[in-house]
Amino acid sequence: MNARCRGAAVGALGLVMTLLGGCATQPPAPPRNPDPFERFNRDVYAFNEALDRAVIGPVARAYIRYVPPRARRAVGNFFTNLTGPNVVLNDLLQGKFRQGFEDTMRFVFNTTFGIGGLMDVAASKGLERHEEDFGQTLAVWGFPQGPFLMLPVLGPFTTRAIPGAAVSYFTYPLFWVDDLRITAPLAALGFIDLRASSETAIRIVRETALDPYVFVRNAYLQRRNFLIWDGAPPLDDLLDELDVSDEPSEPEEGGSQPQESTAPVP
Amino acid sequence: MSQDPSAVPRRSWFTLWVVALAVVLILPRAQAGEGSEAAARAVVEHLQTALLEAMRTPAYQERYRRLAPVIEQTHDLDLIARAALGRDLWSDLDTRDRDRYLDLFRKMSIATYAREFSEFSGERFEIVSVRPVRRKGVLVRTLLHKADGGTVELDYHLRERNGQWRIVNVLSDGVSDLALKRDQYRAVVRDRGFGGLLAELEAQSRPPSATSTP
Repeated sequence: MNARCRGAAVGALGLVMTLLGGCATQPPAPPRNPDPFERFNRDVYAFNEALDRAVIGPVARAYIRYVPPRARRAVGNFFTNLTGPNVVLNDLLQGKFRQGFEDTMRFVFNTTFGIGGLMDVAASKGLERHEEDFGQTLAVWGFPQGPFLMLPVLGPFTTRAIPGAAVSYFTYPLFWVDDLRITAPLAALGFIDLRASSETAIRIVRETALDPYVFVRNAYLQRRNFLIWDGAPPLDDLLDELDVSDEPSEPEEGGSQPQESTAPVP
Repeated sequence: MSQDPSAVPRRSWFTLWVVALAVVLILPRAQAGEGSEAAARAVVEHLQTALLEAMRTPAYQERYRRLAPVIEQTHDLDLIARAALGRDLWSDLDTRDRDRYLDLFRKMSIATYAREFSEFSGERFEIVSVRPVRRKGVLVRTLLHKADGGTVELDYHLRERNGQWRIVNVLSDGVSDLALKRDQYRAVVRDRGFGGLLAELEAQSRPPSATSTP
């Protein structure tokens, strides 16, 4: 893509964001059946698993084995820092101006004093990392979650998170570097870093999941919700789950109570 | 008692009222609140101390043997098991199936802890806050400080049953273990029936050599 194309794309995106920016509301409740394409998604999951077991996983484990932890941490910091502009943009789009200022300082400190982001010097200055993206912004604006999707290679997504992936792409500093000799190896390293950092999680899924696909789907959706609510999602849903089977041997109070609308979807 | 109210001066009546109100309304509540928070905190501390000890124990069987009483004491495993299945599926089971399910769930829970908390490299737990939540519950928020400097948020939800505070759910970085279990259990029962679920729980209860993947 040439520079003019890129400029037009970003300009159009900016216009859409400005038009939508006014309607900030509470994130809407998740749909009753979050996964209408389960059969298709399961096939993609099986493909991703096969690919990971054959190629991506072994490469990631070799990376973990041969690259020392400190070097891996520097690589992780470098790629995390590159998401800085996207975090700041979405801080602002969600109206979190103070956090936007902090994340701007964080990006500036780490890019300069942190030697291009290899060191997370901002964290030691009390500037903690925030995770924001345009998918979360859409949720805060009141857009529904949409069907759950398992994408080839990329893994779990909600429909709402897909425009977020596009915004992440445009706001990624490497996107503006035109030399493939620089961007291609860096993109490959970034991908291996991402997979390597998930090694423990993937191992736990393989060891403890009864249905790995459902495990990944549920954990992803819960994690997204956690991020959308900035780490404080309403606890009510979790507490209600316990009430479903709390003391089932005891008779219901007041005899025939109407069933609550929280009945699980078949 | 047959006291004549007029025999007591007005002011002492008022004082008596205030004291009585305080005794009836405020004190037990404050006591229950603080007492339950302290009790819930102690349960989580007990579990986390045992987990750190387990991580320093190399043999799986030994870890399992030591963790088993702690897990059973600190968790309301029967309630978790029933909630993971959901009221409708639970009510479909006869007594024999319920007992088998509860027994396998208990073994699977201990085996999972014994398998996953197997290596120690300087981790430590920190209790961040303890606060009451809706309907006789307490939430204990903790941080697991990993060796590489990273942290995992571990939040324990506890409930009181028969005078004992026990863990009914654990949230790691916002992901509810109970919700994860429920979604999976119901999918397995839907696809392979209750027998399929029992077989999976059985497989999860085995020592790691039998289930580990390269």
